[in-house]
Amino acid sequence: MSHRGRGRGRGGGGIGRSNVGNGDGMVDFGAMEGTVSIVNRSQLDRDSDRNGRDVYMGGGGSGPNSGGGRGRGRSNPYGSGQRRGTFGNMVMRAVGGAPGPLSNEVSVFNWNDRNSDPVSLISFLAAKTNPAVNVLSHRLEGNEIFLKLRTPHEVTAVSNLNGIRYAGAKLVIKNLNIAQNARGPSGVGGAPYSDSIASKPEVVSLLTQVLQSRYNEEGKFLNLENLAAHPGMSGNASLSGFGGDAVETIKIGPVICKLIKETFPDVQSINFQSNRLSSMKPFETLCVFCPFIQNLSFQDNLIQNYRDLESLRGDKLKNLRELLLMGNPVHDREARKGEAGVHGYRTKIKQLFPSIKVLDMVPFEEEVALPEIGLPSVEELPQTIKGAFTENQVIADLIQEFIPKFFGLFDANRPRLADVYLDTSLFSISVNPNNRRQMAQGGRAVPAKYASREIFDTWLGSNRNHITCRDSSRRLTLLGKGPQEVQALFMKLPQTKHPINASFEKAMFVVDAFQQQIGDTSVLVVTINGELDEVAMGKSRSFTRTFILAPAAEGSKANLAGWKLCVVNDMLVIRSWAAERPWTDKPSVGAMPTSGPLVGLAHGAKPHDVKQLSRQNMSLTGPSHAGALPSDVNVLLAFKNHFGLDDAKHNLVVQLAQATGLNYQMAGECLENAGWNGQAAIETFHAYKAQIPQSAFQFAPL
Amino acid sequence: MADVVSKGADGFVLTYYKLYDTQRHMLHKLYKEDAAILWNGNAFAGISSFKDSYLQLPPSVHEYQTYDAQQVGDSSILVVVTGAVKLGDQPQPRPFSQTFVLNPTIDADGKKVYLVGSDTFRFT
Repeated sequence: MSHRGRGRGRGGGGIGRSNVGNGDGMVDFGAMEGTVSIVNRSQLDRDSDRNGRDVYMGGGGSGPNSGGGRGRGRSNPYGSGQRRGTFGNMVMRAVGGAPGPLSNEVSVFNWNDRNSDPVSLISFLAAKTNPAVNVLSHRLEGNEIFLKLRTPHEVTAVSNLNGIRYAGAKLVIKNLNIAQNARGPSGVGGAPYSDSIASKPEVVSLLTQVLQSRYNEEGKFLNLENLAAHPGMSGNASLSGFGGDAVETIKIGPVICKLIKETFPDVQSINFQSNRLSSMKPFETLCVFCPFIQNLSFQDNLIQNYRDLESLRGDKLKNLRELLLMGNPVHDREARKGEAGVHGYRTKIKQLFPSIKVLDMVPFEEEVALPEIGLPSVEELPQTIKGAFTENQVIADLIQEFIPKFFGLFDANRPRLADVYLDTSLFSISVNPNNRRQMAQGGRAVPAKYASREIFDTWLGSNRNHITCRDSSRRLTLLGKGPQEVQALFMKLPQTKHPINASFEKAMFVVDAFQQQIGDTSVLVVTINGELDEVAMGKSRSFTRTFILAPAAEGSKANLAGWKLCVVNDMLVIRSWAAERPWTDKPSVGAMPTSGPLVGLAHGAKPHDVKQLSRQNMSLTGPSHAGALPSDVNVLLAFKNHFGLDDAKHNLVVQLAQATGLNYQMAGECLENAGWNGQAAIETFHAYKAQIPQSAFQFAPL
Repeated sequence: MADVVSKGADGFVLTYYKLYDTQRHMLHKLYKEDAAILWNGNAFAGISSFKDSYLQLPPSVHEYQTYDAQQVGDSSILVVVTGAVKLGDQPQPRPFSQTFVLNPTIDADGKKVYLVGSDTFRFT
């Protein structure tokens, strides 16, 4: 156990130590290693050799006993398989020879005799561990509670509390990482996958042919039913073992997923019927390679338990509409229990795959009652839901320019947003942890039961929700005024990724904007509802963000930095993610649906105001790398990938870089030498600031 | 002023949803006559044109789960509410977000009151 723990612990380490540091009279962070670094020399040496080694499909070929500790040490403990598919080879590494991403879960029994509030238990466990563990989420199954933690270290720390007294009973705590390893594919004698399929082009090309023969172009449908029976599969030594829980299935599955993405980027439906699959593990990377798949069938396989379904992250398959699981024990067992069993089964599957509308060919009831998503019935509501509203083309253009620029920087380089806030601008954030489809019984403003709330630890620190934040001085403290205070609040928020780039992401948010007269000035009131990714958690959140924007005055900071608009007010609400997007597939509204102009425009905002807004054509456009961090979040993720950092460390690097102005490499160097203690790193930075060369504050490409 | 803004929002949110759910025919009194209203992407110029629409909605139970308030300009207030609303006998409440800009107005008795100058509502 200790071996495994150590191996994983350094999995994210090894940021390049070679480039800066010792030369040119610059600050020698390396010299501090003896006192503050937690990374000892031998580990560094071992880590440094990995860049030169072929780790495709999982670090095979480095010796018969290396599959355990070393392979594990290298894989990202947060499961890079959960990331978007930008880094294909990285994903392959995570699902190959090393065991897949660990669930980082513990299960706890015997906890709720006297106090069934999970929050009390979670606080108790945090108080008993040092450093306090962070529970990312919890779920209840009967008397058992499952807690998801950040790292394997935390899992170990909590498991070590097994037997501790809590609320009058002794807790029984199980480390599910261990169970997972023992049960999972890696348990097969630790056999190294030396004959990686991906390394054999002829096998890959054969597999591609097999897939092509099963693809229906017109229907965008890939039929992988009983794949083992395909002559192309059964006739090839590397492929013939496919099916069931054979090692080959685990090896071939991820390759298939990757090939699907490469060969059939438009695929909408995949049928995995009759492949004797006992879990979705072999195809867990579907959510990376085919995140927009709409229909999946796993009918007539051997899937036993709900947990066997979890390796395929349903919450990542945001467009999944239909799922078939009939003919699997997990379904049949419940079906035999009658209506109650089926109901429980359907509820559970809907939790795992929140976006599905149809399960086992039966639509969810709600969908029958609501043919048009979002309407109680078409007759009852006076108007149907429409897509984005912008009052006129001028506003639409301004907003379309503002939003990607703003959120791009919010994701990658928040300090650069200081330009766009005035000294009087305000920012605040509220957190709505209630699950979207639940409501407290009866009364209003009553927090829903804890069981139906998501964990929002990373956001709660600045929560100014007036329902819970009643104290007027606290309300004042949490209101950021002016660029500096706004920035200070920004720095406390976790790293985000807003869907602003790809065309498919357009549907993920909706913008309503119009002009209104406030006192003497004409402003834009802009409300954006949508979703974002919380990068370090690999978790989706929904958000509502309201801006009040004004034209950036000639010669103002915003104007000089290339902004046509500046932010007067900025209010963010973070909420639990829901699959519904009531505004999608609705035409956006550019022209007036009503006869006259919107009153916000009519009363006060004269045509010349509109012109004034549009006249701000900029002679100066901002440089692309004013800060030391890249402004494109994908470039930022490439840095993370390059240095093999896990999400927590990556987040620290970004935060330090944002707080100090250091570039990514230097911030990483600084943190590593401070033992990944953010506070210590900042102190070190300030102590040596004068000696740090200017180049450390400039963007340096990889 | 920040305190005035927050206190104003406390009172407004409480009153607004109470009227909406129990005395909807009174709701228009909280709006300026020329308020700008966006309801799920549908624009209404003025409260009288919106009134017919919301009066047709089935009985509602709003639960507001968050609201926050900021001052806008010299004397206006921005309020953003998120929550869930149950309409008629729908089995499930629907999550919503609602953005108000409240403007100070002098009422018939010469008292300064805050009224809705704009309202952006979305099912989310």
